[in-house]
Amino acid sequence: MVLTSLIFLTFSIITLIIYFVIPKKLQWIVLLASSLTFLFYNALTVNNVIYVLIILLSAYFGALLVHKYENTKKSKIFLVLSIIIILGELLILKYSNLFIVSANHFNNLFHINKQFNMVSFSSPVGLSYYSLIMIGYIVDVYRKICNPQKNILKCALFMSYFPILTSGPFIRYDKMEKELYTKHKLNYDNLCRGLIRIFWGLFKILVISQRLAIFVNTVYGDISTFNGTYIIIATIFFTLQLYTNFSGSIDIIMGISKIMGIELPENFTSPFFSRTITEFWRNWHITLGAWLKDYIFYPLMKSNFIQKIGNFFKKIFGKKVSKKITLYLSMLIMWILIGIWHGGAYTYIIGSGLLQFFFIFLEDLFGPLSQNINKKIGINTEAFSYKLYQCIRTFILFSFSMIFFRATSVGNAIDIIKHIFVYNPWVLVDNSSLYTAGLDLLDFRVLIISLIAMFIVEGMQRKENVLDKLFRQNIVFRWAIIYLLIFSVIIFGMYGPGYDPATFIYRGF
Amino acid sequence: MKYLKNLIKISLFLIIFCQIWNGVFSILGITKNSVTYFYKEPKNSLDIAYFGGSNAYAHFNTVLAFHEYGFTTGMLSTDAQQFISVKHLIKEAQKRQKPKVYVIDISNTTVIYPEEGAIRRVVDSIKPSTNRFEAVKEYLEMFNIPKEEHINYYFSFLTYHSSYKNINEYKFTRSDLFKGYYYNEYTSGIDPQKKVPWIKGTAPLAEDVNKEFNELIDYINKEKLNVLFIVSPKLYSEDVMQKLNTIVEICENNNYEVLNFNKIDLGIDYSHDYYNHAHLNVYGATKFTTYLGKYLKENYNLPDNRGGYYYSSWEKEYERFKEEYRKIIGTGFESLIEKK
Repeated sequence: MVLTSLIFLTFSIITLIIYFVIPKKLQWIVLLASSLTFLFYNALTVNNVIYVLIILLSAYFGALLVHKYENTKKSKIFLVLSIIIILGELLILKYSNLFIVSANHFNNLFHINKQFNMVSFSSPVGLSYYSLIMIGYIVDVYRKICNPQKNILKCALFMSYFPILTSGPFIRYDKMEKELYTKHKLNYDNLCRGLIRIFWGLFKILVISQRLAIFVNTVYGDISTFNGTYIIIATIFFTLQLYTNFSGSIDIIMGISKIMGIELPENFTSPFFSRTITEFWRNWHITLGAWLKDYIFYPLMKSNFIQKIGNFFKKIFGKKVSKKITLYLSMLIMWILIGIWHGGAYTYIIGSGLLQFFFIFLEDLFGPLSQNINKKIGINTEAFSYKLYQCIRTFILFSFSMIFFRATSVGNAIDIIKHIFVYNPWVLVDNSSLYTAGLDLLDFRVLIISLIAMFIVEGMQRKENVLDKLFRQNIVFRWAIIYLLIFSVIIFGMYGPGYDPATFIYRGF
Repeated sequence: MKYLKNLIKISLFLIIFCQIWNGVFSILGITKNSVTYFYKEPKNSLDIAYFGGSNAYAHFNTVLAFHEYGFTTGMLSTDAQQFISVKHLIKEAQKRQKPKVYVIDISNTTVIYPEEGAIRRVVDSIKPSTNRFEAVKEYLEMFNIPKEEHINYYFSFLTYHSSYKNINEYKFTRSDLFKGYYYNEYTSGIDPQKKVPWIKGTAPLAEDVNKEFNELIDYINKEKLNVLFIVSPKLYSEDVMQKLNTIVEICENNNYEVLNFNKIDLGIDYSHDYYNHAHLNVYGATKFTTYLGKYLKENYNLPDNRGGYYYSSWEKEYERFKEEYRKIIGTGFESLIEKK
């Protein structure tokens, strides 16, 4: 069920109506029923039901047992056991092929005459999300951040809350407990804000992302014809496509939840205004970053393994350097995991993992040096021009890494990079070439105006909540803006016959 | 109090939304046609409802008929109109008007065109209603349209929203439609034709045509409508003539009157009165309208609305037509009328 499809719209409207019509104490049951319907809408198979049950039962009983035996060794054993089961299922269903490809590469490298066949598992939607969410839940119970949920159906709702199954955000039990299970009244303010947020998401996806996708798919689908400048534009477009698609999905999810009175954590805060890659990742897929920090990075830093390595290097290089080494090592592991989470392929590991680590590593290593140089030659690093330069630099670095993310293989990514160096800048100005890649002049106009509008809103959002600002305006202006948004989606949105329903880049994860 | 205030706000918001929606999709939607202008006529102001394919709007000059005989005609014609469409368009006519006569041009009904355009021309011309819903449903079933595409027909904005790329003058207004009659430089052209004699004999109708025709007959029987069937003067193949003979036979068996203008001498000059093989030009249309208008006036007790307070728009449209004629042909339309 694609978020921009009429079926999802109908499904959400029916859910909302029932949610507010039935007695409030039953609201969470409506949510559970909707979530299970959503979960198995496309794939109600025995296997999928078993996969979901394994994670649910492991998390449910795991958390209960962890809590029951708290402060004892048994508690840790149950914690580890339930994590192993959940993680094991996730690894098998999602990442088997990564291990198989790696094993085959290894065998080739050492001339071992054994090749494994790729495997294919159908997995229920949102597996990558709720596996990690449930691991976080058990760990939080272990850390005594929250108490375990004793009602298995309520636990199932936390795991499968339908809006977040396709694109997140990652939720935490201690924050969501009140949101999901308490009674909510239909609130005019929530309704307005929720609907505007949904249309803002639809605007990003249907008006911007879908248009960008046409150009990107055309260019990346035929890099021999569309090379040089085309690839540069397509690479920039892909980054924007990824962002508008992903953050647009989150807007729809947040909007639906808002109408129900359920607040979810923000997943993006204007990432393209970030001055460094480090800052960028604080604003991009925030809940994934936070999850990995809390449940992977910090535990890793404190782990015996890293401590031992730290101690080893401390003897050789001293305290300061050894601290850096352990930090970078933990970061490297975390970034590799981020890459793996994005998909079981090397392109993801490089694109959204290793390259990001590399950029952050360089920023950390050369940051002080760069600051010194700027100071000595008198560059005002707080001037708008310098900030703009930093934002553009960050955008370019991230876009470059996304070549790997978008490519079909590492070889394909290298091929794309090679084709960038074909010299053909005239395609930008010769009045027709640019329009051969799927978008005509009118599409470009719509795209540019929409992107400007989006960046203006994002820029304003950094200072204050744009919706708050909008709701302070007089009714005529306020409604004019809302109508403009709604009719932009209706008229310029790429939906209906001739267009595939928007595919969600993050849906598969 | 706050609840009421919010309710009013939501209602007002939705009303404005619907108004904008109507405005937007009156431009982005299907290109304006005769049916669009039918809806603009005041309720119960039309004496005749006229159905048929392109022959209907190209042959019957509604404003001339008004000027000469005083009755008003609602043109509900769409390209290559089929029986299935006629039934639903009659329902639309019944909803808004009380026509004394329903004229149905059957010239285009012998063949079914199973294409998207054939459906859209009709269903997207009909305003949202249960009748439209039923028309869509019947078309989809008849043309075996895949299920996943059905929604695009029921909710036409899914298709039309992207037509902002093809906006032209016709999306806003049709200056070449005069109360449904189609007139411009093209229909003033002369394309000489050779008369094809009408043949006798009948041929079986295609299954779908037969089914739809019987349903139409059942409907007009049930509604006890005053219907005049006509066959437009044009050049048909033998097969089509025989099929039309079959339809005529069924009509007559049901006691409906049929005028076959291929058998009536209108004074059509085949070397001068056509703008293409299927359509009369303005000269031929004037002869056709004069004959049919007189026939309707004499046989159906139609009122003379000329000079009536509510009918000034008809006079204005006739003046506009004359002006257009003078611009295109270079002489006054009166001289052509006098010849007839």
